[in-house]
Amino acid sequence: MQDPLRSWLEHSGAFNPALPQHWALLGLAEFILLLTLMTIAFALVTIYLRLQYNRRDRYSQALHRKWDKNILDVLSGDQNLADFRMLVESGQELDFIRFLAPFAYRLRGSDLDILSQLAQQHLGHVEQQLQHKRPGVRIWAINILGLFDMPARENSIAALLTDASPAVAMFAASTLLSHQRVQFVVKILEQLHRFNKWNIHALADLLVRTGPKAIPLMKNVYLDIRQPARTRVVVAEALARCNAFSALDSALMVLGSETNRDVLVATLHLLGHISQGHHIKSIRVLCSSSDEILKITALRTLRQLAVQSDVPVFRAALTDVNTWVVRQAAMALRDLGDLATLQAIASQSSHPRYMLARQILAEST
Amino acid sequence: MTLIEITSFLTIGYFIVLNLVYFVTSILAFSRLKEFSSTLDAYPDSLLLSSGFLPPITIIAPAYGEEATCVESAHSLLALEYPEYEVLVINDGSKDATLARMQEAFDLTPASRMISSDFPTASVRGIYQSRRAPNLWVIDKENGGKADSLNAGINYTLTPLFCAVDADSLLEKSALTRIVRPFIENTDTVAVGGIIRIINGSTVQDGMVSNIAMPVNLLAQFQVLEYFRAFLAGRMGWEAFNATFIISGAFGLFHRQTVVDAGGYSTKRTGFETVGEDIELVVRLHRFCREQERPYRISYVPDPVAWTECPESLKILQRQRSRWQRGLLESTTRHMRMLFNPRYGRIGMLAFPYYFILEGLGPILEFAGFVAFFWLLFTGGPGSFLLTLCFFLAAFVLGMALSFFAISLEEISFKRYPRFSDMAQLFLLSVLECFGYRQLNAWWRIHGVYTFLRGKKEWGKMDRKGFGAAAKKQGQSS
Repeated sequence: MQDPLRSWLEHSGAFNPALPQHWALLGLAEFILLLTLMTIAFALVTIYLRLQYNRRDRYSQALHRKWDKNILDVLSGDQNLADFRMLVESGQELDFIRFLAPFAYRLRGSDLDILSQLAQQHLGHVEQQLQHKRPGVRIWAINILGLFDMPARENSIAALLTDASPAVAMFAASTLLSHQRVQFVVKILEQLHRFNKWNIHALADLLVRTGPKAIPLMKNVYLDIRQPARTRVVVAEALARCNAFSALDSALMVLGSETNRDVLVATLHLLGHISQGHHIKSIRVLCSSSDEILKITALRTLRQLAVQSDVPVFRAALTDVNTWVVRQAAMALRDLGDLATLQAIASQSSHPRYMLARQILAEST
Repeated sequence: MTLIEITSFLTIGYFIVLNLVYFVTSILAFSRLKEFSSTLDAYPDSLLLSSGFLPPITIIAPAYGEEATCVESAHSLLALEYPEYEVLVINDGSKDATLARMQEAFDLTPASRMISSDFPTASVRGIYQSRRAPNLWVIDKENGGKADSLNAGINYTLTPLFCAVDADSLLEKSALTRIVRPFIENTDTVAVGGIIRIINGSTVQDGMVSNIAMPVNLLAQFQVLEYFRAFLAGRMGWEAFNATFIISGAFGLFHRQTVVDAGGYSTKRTGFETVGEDIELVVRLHRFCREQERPYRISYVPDPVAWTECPESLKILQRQRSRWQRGLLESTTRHMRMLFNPRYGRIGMLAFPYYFILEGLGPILEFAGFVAFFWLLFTGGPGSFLLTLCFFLAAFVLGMALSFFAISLEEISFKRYPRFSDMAQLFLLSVLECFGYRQLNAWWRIHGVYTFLRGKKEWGKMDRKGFGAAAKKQGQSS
């Protein structure tokens, strides 16, 4: 096809194909034309987006105004649900759910039940959104179904535990666990490796939401040496957060046999939460470990369980080169009432731990 | 081929590659922003805030001569929605009443605080804790510069993460909750940058931006547009490519231990002084983690916002831009072994060459190109005249296209400027900036290259009006 710009230039006699400079000029002119069209397109798209956004915003505000007037009457029992449902027309279902959600996040008990009943007949539309191509929309649908219709929709949500997007899988797991759907714990634990980059405390917090029913399942995973170390660490942290005293024997077993540093650290955390000090000896041994992380954690655990006879262990740790080791030791001495040792350090401004001792003493007042 | 012709070809090559990169990053930013904003809607901050697993953070805010804004900034930092955080304001030997203002406003009392690392810094004169807000601390030290103050702050940081902010920045309430997300979702994360937006013209109430509006001052308006291009198109694009190279000193969250292991901020006392300490730290983190073979990720999140006051006078803007250019060159030349070195992955092969050659040395080529084109314009005959004119026209339209695209990016994502007139104003600015502002900017960057070559190390003064003044000004104008 003939280039229209070239034809026009040739026709007007401004373009001579024999001159290389004219070709360069033509190229540049075409480039400028293309850029100008692109710039205009960007401007039009931006204006269109703004108009569309404003229109949607106005539409949604109008709907909200219409529903706003009646929602409090429904919640207070002055208007019946059937009348209110009449206000939601076809095509407004998802807008209505978006309107209800902020109320539902804030309300509990019978008020939430009323909102759930209002939402009920439109949740089919939300369930369809679980298949939406955008992960953000799938996450929104999970949150809404979790909010309004659990456990009825639990299987639809559980199907997303293996979703291609880890964020979607995470929200599915989070929703199921928040509603204490213990039957999915095993499946979720199997999927934990997908969240291997996630913060361990965040994952542990997630598991804790299942409540005490899941403790036996978590104990099994914690003891299972075939499981990835990270999974066992997460489970140990979750057991610690649950104050799972029944995991004491398991923790002692792991402490005696485990070699993985991360699992040992998590076990020490666990013992710090559930131990009564019966196995303090094994913890004392780790207080002189050559591994700094293990040493700090052991000192922290010992600090939680220590008795007066442990004072020498902490005094010895005060000379450690690692600041965090010294901090744990100093805090332990403060807790055990050995303030004289700390005051001695705090009174020598040339002492390398002068400032640390002063702060720990200041924190005790 | 003559020298003029060689220069012209080099300039054209530079122009093509630079704009190609801008286009690619803008397109990458487009898809990333769409994805980001859709996930954000579904992932409310309240879920994170109620989770109980957000890691504690220390905010380090170096302050030098900030008597006009320090109290309001501290109030804004103390009003953030985050479960556990401390604020360390580092008074870097201010000659004005910064410390007195803080003392008066927060009832400071001398206190002790443990040192967690031992970067050499200018001597600390006193440590104070607020009686009104126990999580607010002020470290008063001799003047040593911004990087020195940040190192002093790191020395007193007791949390796994620290957030470096400028004392004259205002963080949005949700800023910490949003910037911390990459640390929760990926444990390899060592640093995250947030977006910086311009506060001039907006209204500030109780340490928070309450009404967002375009600045009245024309220079500040141009900077709003520039920040759109830099943060929404540029940095977002590089983030999509997993090659974040710059985290603004005004707002960044870091993993304390990794920064300590990498040697902290560069200062005269640690052996290398630079005015681009923020860029240098990020480049060094990349280098350190690659050399140590540590898995790591440096991210950029376009939503947590820090608002900052931008210069409204040519003189101060020139100082700022010249300093940025110098900082970029100082930081990149220190790590020249990363240039085109496959050992450093896409940072060494793409981001570093882009920032060093195209952004750092680009102004020299631009200047040489200007000279060559003007030479050709007057000596090369009518053909060259037309070609040169077309080239300038192409550069003009391309610049506009990129600005328009950046405005579209804002439109598909955050829509912070709610009025239709703001958008129209931004379009108009995209056209106007081609007549003078861009050329001035290029000239300031050349000045930056010149001062870099001369080995100048000064920061230059930034006059602050205070956020209250910005609000008042807005009130008057409306």
